[in-house]
Amino acid sequence: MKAAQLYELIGELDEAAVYDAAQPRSRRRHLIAAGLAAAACLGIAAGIWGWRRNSAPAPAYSVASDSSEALGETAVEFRDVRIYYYHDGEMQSETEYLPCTPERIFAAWKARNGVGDEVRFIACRIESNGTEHSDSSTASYTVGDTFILHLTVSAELAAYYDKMPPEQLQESLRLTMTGYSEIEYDGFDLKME
Amino acid sequence: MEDHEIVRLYFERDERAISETAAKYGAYCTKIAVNILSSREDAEECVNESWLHAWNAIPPHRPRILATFLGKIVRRLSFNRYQFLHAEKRGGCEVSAVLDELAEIVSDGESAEDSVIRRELIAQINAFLRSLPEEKRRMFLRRYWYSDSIAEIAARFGKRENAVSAALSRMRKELRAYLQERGYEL
Repeated sequence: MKAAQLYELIGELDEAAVYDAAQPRSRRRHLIAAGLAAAACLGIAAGIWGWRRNSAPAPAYSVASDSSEALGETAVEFRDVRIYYYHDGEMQSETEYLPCTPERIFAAWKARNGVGDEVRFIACRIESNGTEHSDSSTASYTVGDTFILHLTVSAELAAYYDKMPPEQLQESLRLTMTGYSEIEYDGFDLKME
Repeated sequence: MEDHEIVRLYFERDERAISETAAKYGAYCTKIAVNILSSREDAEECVNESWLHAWNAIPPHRPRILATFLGKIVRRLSFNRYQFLHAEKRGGCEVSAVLDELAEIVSDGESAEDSVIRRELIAQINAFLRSLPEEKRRMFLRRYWYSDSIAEIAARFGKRENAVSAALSRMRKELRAYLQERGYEL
């Protein structure tokens, strides 16, 4: 095979991955992490976010379903968010102008995928190998270089596996939940409970 | 306009489909073509030609992801033009460097003309990409699908150019080994 033929083959690779690679990453990861660090400091200082709420290893940021009020949606950035869904067995996506909170984006994903309100958002946590340091007056955060998104939703989602192949449902959810922020995730973990 | 509305215009044979496509995806497609051809004039011709291809393909085809569907058309047209323009000698374009890198994976021997083998190879490369961390996968696709320059990739991912080159080099070696382990000698 010649290089040109391999180049042509690469042109036929998975469309969702190709599309994903085109999504803008306007800020560098270190800036994102710096933002997270700043958010962490604010969160600790104000007692808004539930750090270490699940005793999980080094979470960079976590939001649970009961924290959306405390998060203060009026202060949350709105942006065009791409919501993925399957239609007639094919991946589709549309943009919606939404507040960038995982709960609201999960709600938009449910609506696009025909998933009912009985399926509840429970928690969303970003696991990073960064570390936080705090004392009585200051807090700082050492940025990591891996990010895994852990999403927990209610077990009612499994009922939809009869209507749609699980891999399709999970793939559209993964692309939606990992695509709206500027963090480049290394993994996605979905839990149902 | 949302993608499904644009696709609906194609299905209704409404010519606004082309103007809406150009408005939404003109810059995206032009970037792909410029990366391959290094000539805005040639690139714009390929992009305009790609709208006609889209018009002829939809319907019956209903794109999974409109952006990628259009990107694939313009990538193919641009690469065809590149090969026509550079039949005797490579050089001058980013894609020339991309092809030199891809040459490290292949043996320059017999090509895989069989469509079944081609599909299998595509599936194997997709599987290889899924095995990579997300950032590496994106870097690979930015280089070998979009033909971005090393400098552009470095800027996009906040890395030094040397680090990007090294990461891509490792991925090429890994891909070659991955395919060889599965019985594919390219």
